[in-house]
Amino acid sequence: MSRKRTYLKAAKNGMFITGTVLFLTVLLVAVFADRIAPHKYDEMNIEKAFIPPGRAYLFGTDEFGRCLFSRIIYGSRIALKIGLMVVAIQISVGVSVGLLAGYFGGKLDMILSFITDLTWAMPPVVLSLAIVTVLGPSLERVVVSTALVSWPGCARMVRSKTQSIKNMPFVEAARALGESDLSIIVRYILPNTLGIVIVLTTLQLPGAILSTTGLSFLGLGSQPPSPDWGLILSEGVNYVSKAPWISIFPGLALIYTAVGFNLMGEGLRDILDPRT
Amino acid sequence: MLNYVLKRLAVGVLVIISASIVLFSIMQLMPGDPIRMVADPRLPPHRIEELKRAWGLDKPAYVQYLYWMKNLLRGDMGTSIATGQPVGYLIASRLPYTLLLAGTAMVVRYLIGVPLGLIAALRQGTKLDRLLVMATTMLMMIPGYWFAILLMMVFAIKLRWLPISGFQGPASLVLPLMTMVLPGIGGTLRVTRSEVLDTAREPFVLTAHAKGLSARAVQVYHILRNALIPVTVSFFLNLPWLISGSVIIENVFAWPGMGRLVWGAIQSQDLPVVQGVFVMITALTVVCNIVGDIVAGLLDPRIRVEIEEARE
Amino acid sequence: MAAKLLEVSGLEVQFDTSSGPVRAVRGVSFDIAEGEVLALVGESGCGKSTTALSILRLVPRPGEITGGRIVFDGVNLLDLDECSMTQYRGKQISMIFQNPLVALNPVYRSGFQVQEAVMLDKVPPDRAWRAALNVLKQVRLPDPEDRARSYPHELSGGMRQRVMIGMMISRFPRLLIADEPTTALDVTIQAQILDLLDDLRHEKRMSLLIITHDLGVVADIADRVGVMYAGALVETGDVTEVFEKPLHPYTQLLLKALPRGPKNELRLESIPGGVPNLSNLPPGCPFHPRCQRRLDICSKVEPETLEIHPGRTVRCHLVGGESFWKR
Repeated sequence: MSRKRTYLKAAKNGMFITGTVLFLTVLLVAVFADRIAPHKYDEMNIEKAFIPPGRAYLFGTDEFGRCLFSRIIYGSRIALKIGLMVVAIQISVGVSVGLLAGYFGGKLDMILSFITDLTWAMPPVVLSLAIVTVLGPSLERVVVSTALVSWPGCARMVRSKTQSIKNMPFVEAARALGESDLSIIVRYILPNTLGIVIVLTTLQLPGAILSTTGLSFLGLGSQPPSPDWGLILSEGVNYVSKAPWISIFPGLALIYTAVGFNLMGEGLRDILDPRT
Repeated sequence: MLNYVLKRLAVGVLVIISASIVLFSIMQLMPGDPIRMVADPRLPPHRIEELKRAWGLDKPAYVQYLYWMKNLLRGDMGTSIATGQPVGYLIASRLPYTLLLAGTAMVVRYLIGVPLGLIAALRQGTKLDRLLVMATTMLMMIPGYWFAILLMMVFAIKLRWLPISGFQGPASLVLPLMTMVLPGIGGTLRVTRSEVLDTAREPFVLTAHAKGLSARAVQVYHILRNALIPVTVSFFLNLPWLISGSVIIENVFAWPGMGRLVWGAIQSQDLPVVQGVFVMITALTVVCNIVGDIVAGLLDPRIRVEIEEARE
Repeated sequence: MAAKLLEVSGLEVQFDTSSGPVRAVRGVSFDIAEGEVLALVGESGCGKSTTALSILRLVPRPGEITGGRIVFDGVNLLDLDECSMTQYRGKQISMIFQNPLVALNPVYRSGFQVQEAVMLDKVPPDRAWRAALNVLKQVRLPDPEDRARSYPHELSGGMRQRVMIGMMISRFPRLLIADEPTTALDVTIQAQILDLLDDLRHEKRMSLLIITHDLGVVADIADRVGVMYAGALVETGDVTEVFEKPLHPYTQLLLKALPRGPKNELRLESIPGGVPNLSNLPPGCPFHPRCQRRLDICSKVEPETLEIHPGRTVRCHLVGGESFWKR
């Protein structure tokens, strides 16, 4: 499929465009958080606690009189950081395992496939819990432990794709010309698996972000006064009847971001699907 | 069939052992000395050494692991540091609540998701199909714990129809159930829809038409009958995800299950309980996978034969 | 001349693809008399299977019959609603498929799949089961009682095809369509299945429409033959006449290649040049790029179908016009 046709399909794909727009707004907000937010995320003002959303405070204030709008603006940085870390770990582990298992096959494939199956059977949330119990709560630990059990899907996909590509004529030709295995993997096989990896990771991102902020919600990830959306939510739980806005807005921000990634992923899948 | 089950079981045991090794390694990362966390800090050093010896903590890590495993096999998962109760007892008292919640949630999810998936597949390409897929996908993007709070605000605080948390009879099940069912419908709908569409393209469906079956009979006896095999198997493969996912929801609603137990244990650094829950959930995952494989074998004669051939 | 059981005229089938509609069948006309065997021959992708499926109105989406008439026993099948069409399928016209492994439902016992067909004629289950066993005996399935309780994947290729044939003749159809019935089978089994089909059509007085790429099959069993190329019939006639005096250059090439193949089997792909792409046909006669005797006109105008005498047609500029009659 020509590059031009791919761009054309992307330009016509409503889901992809909507998703990209949503994602870009989150990205811009994160980058320019300092300028957009009227207050610092940890700026307290006890006299102004529990002000409902309105002119002065767009999303209202929390128990410490912190501006929720500013906190949510700053929180976008954390959400994107989670996304970036998960993607980085998932792709580096998943792609390497999939490529090696698919390309070399044999014993190596057997061992790697067993590790993949094993990881698949690990209960993700509980593994994070175990790590946090031992090492203490931290966003990074939660993210890493979530990502470390979320790569098997990617590895399986890359493995089967690699298996189907490695016997194609252009790969055989490269092998006949004496190219090393490493060079064949990097130059011929990796580029051909990239599409599927991008789609898969984008589609898994919302789930990763939601479960990580969920752990922050339980108090196991980000610690106060971090503007992690999950943490803000858990702070709001105690004031559900008095100040429901504390719980509502971070949830909406999460949905906005998750929907953005999801639409982007679904759009990409359509665009990269040669059948459509 | 028996051989096949045994083989699956063997792999399952291997997975549980490997998972426990992973967990044990994580525990080794713990800074400081486990004894000092439990024991009275005023104890003299030689008493601590004695205690260490008594608990086997002076031995190399693999010996400690074997001790731990030996106890685990005897059903002894250790003692809770916080309450002094046996971990096995704690888990046994909480497990039914988790299984009740996750199991009911899974059943309700499939009762709603499968019919919707069928409708979407039969009306493929129509507005209704697109609407169903879109709407349920959006539901997947809602964070469960946020949705839980919303439900509590509306049904428990504003309307006072349902209990806000804890377990006080069947009414308590409603809100946690809604929280766990709604986001999952999208996945079930998609699996059902794509399996039905894939089956409808199979050559044997053409055969069924050609021999004169009515469109309805072909749909029911040849498309649905075959498409529901992978859908049923997916039920069992998804169950463990729901169980481990329920950890967060249980805490929002103070549901007295394993998720609540483990969260409390983390707050009090109660490592034996965390370990126990981890091993328990891994074991449940493995069991669900095995059950899924067996059900697949029962429903699909082709797999049954693979199983029998594998015996040679 | 025997009464016509099936008359197809001007059949058009289109597939809607992302790059626009593709005409898979272009104005195909033929007929089959009571008890006659017609073979449609051509390379894969020439539209012969689509033509066969059109008769049962089972062209898979995104394909659609866009024109023509399919008259069976005086009724135009294209006028029927879906419910009335169901009455024809299996009962009047039925069809067996190329690969019986995927064409039989893997989760049902083979006997049940025959029984299911018999029961459509309001036969109670126990009698239908006996009828199914009986029919499996007729198609010479060894140990029919045992095999009926086997699943399709437990049978050999030949046995599966016998079950398939049994299922499709169990309701005594008047026309049986066989789409590459022997292609997926071993050579020895192929001959047995062809013999079976030949015997059955005599016993049951069925008409047979065989779709094949194998001229050996045509010579073995067919009375008449139609040669298809790029969605159109390029030549029809009695088998002996067409084999002895082929008129279309494509048919001539096919027959010339025939003795070279092992045991009458011919890979049509051995003819130079590629199979034409239906979504992008060359102008004029679609065969002209591969034709060794092409004229100037061939690349400009597509030839009309010419009837030489009843039941003998050809679609080529070389035949007809003055050049032909002067020769």
